[in-house]
This record gives sequence, structure tokens and C-alpha cells, in this order.
Amino acid sequence: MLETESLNQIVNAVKRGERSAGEIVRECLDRIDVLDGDLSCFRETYPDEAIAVAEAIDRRIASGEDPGPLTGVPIALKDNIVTDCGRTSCGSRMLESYRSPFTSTAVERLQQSGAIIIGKTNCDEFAMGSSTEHCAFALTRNPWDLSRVPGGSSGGSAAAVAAGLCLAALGSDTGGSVRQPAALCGVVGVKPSYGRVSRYGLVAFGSSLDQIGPITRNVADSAAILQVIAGTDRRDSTCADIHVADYQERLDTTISDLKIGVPRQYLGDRNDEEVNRVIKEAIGVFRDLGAEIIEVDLPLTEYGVATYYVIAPAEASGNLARFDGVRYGRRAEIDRDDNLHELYARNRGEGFGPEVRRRIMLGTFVLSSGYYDAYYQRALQARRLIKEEFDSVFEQCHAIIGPTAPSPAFTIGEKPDALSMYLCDVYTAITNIAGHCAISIPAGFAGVDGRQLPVGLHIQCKSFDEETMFRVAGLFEANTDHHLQRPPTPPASSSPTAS
Amino acid sequence: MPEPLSLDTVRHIAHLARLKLDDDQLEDCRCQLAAVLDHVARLNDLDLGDVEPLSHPTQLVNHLDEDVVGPSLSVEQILDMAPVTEAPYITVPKVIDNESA
Repeated sequence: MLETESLNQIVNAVKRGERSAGEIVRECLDRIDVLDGDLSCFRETYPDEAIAVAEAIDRRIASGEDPGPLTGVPIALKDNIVTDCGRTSCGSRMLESYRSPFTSTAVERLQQSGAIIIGKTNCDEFAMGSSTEHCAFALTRNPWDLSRVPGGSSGGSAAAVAAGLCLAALGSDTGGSVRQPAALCGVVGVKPSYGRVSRYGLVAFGSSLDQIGPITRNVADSAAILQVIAGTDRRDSTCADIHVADYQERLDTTISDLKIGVPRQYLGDRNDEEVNRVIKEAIGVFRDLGAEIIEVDLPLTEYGVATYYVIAPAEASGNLARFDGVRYGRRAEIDRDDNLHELYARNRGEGFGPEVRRRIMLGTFVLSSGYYDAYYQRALQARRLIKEEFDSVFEQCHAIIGPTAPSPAFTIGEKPDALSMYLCDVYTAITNIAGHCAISIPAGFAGVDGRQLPVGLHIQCKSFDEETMFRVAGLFEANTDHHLQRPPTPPASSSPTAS
Repeated sequence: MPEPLSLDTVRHIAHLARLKLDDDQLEDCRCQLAAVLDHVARLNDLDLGDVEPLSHPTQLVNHLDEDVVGPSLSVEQILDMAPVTEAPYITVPKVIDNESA
């Protein structure tokens, strides 16, 4: 029963020989066969490789070895995390058939811990989007309601975990791309502190913002996966050489004098009423557990999206300059007399989708002569103020809580213009601006058009204090059952279904 | 903030970004970017004075490695990835004798 088991249950069952890794992988691939036609979570799966790895793990166990802390765990990867097996397309025509010659550090660490990579999941092109609608290959749907988006950009990963097509997945989070889809699909998603996880092998979007993070069905599973992928890596010099605590050891221990900060800016009328109701109930859970709830002030929340949508596109425009059609990826057809500039411009004009083109244009604009000071420089100055504001609030409380997103999952096609989509990132993008860690966990359900849709509780903690983040999240989870609710199987398409 | 975004500015930016866009795509970019920049203009409300810009969230200093030869890709692997090749070279259009190259 892959869709209800926890990571530790699977690891222990496989290690004791009660279940085989091969059987778990086959169950996982069977569920994908049956359910992914409706959901389109997966870009591709690796059945032969995954079964071979699983059988090798089973042989090691039979001979008395311990394959590691993630033994037998089937994990999916967002399509922008490279592996030397299969393709890595970043949801883009530009890399439609790209095969990486190397494997990312995070994935190598998963493999060395006994995990089994089962496939790649759809995402917004180059991780740019909040709905997974900007994927060149498929339209991923939310398992709670097929007419709605799964969030993004790691929408395929979040939907796959929610639907039980895998036990866990990796996503990447530049401005909320792990946490927001986790919230919209009713699962757990982690944005580690900048520098906690190696970015080696993550196709770069915003290099001062990007982090790989786990998506799972409960907090302990995310803690187990981050435990494995966190830590310094000589192949990414921005990956910090800072001690990685044992996240699982003290997950269930109470924090004495727990102080939870609720920013006065987080529960206003920009949120759906149902989101505010669910988050207020979640605050009540902490209060009932004896935590001190304090009101805190984060006035720069209003400037987070503005700051982010200067800095992230600026970094993206530089990072995506490498897609020139020369050394790898797609190459446009050009005339014999055309020069190199024509090749670049035509290849990039045709190979990138509309949202990626817009972000490259925006980033090029804010970095261009005459506009640099007015936009990019100001955004970097605002970034310092935002970081200082969070630093001072983290001196008053252990964690800041609020909604992950201002609304539950919206319908496909509901946000056609760029700005309305960007405003979904109001609570998440500012975390990447400041660099600290955050997690989204199931907070409850919002009633929308007769259907129950998941709402995410966003818990932010100071940089490199993932231990506290997991303990606060674990405390909430241990006293609620929202994370145990599963989407309907087969996925709900037309008539409303109770959760 | 500078003047509103003109179509000529958008065309110039597309050239800098090496993106060949048709007129409809340029106009779509102009509209969408103008709306985003209008939102970004709220940064003018902040008193940023002499606040030092922050380009990176961590306080890391340069990390220096020993200069030793490590594994790298073979010529064959590199050629395998390239879309157009004439071994052992990657083929590109001419880059000289052309004004805009």
C-alpha cells in the first residue's frame, strides 16, 4: 500500500526482508500506469533501471548488507535535476532530448542511501511558473480536482506524491516552487536554507535563490530525505560547510517556551477567506498545545514579489544565455548564409516558451544600460532590508507561520497574465530573497465550489535551523490528521467528492 | 522610474537577449512586462538611501580548491551532445565578416 505507507515503514519492511524493493518498485510503476494517464505527473519513467536497482538492493539485504537509510524508497525527480539515466528536459523544447553525461549530487546521495529513482516529473519550463501550465510537454493536473492546477513549478513532483505514484520526490524552489505545489496538492514540501543542499546538477534558474528540496506525505519523510541530501559538496562552492543536525532524532521532542510569530501582514484580504479560516485554526492548534503566539511585523512583505521579479529574472537571463544551440540542446534550422547571431536568436526564439522568453526579456531589461540602477540595484538594496527584517523577527520567535499561498489550487487557465501568476508567490518568494528555510505542511481544507481543497501552512525558520523547522512542523502534524487525507482514486474529475 | 516601456525598447532588449520574436510576441512582451514593471515601481516607496546592495543571502567567502586535474568528459561524449558536428569539431555558422555577428 504505497499510497498510505511512510518512508520508515517501507525502509524497515525491506530491511527486515518482509517486503522486497523489487515488489515496491513494481507496485509504484503499476500505479503510475493506472493513474498517470489522468494526472500527467511523469515526463518519463525508468522501469528497467529501477527494477534492476531494486533487485540489486534485495540481493544486498539477502547477503546481510545495509543499503542505507532510504533502502527501497521509490523517488521521483523534477525534470530539471540531471541524471546520467534518461533525459533531463526542464519542461522545455530547448532540451527535449537532452541526456546529461553526469548525475547531480543530491541524486547521487539518494542512490548511495538505497533510494530508487523511478522517473522524472513535469514542471514549468526551466522552473518558471506557479502552475505547471508552462510545461512544453504535458498539462499536469491536481489529483484533488482534475480541473485545477497542481501548483508549480514542481507540480508533477507534488501531484505524484499526493496521488501515491511514488513515496517522495525532489523538486527545486527558487521562489516557492516546492512549497506552493506541496500546499496545493496537500503534501509536505521543504525549501532548505540557501547553501544547505548542493546545487550541482540542478539546472540553474536563479543562482542566489535556487535550492533542491524534498516533497513527501509527512514531515518525518522529508526530514529523512533532507538528512541524506544536505551537506557540503566541493562541486558547489555555495554549498555551506555547516553541521547538519540529526533531523529525525529530536523530531518528536518538545521545544520549551515555543514562540510562534504570526505576521500581521499574513492574514489580510489578499487571501481567500477559506485560507484565512484554515490558517487561523492552525494557529489555534499551536495555542492549544501551549505555544506562545506573538504578533510580529513584516511590512516588507508588500515588496517581496517586486524584489523577486527583478532579481530572479536578472539571474535567469544570465543563466539561460548558455542555451545557444551550439554545444547541446536543440538547434534551429537556419539558411546557409545566416550568421551565428541569427542561429542564437532563432534557436532561442523558437526553443523557449512564452513565459521563459518573458523572464529573459525582463531580466535583460533590468540589467541593461540605463535601467540597472533604477531596477536591479534598487532590488538588491531592498533585498538587504528584507533579510534584516526577517533576522530581527527571528530574534523574537522560533518560527514564523502563515499561509503558503493566498488561495487553494486555481483552475487551469484561470491566471492568463504574468503578474497575476507572480502574485501567487507573495509568501514564498520572499523566503528565497532572504535565504532562510521554510516548509509547507497540510493545514486543513478549504471548501471551494462544493469540493475540499488542501491549504498549506507555511513555517519559516532562520537560516540553517531546519531542525527547529521540522520540530515545529512535526508538532502540528502529530496533533492533526490533515496529512492523512488522500485525494480520491481515481482522481476527481467532475462531481464533487468528500475528502 | 524611467519612462513607460516602448515597443522600440522591447525590440532592443530582444536583440540583446538573442531572442528572435515576431511583432505579436514583441507586443505581448511589452504589455506583460509593463504590468510587471508597474508593480515593481513600488520599490520607489522604500527609503533605500545608501543601503548596501545584497547580492547573495549567505556570508560565504571564496572557496579555493587545490589545482589538480580531475575527471572530465571525453571528446566523444561532448560530440554526442552537440546537435551538429563534423568530428572532432562542433559545427557553427560563420562568425566573422558579418556586421551583426
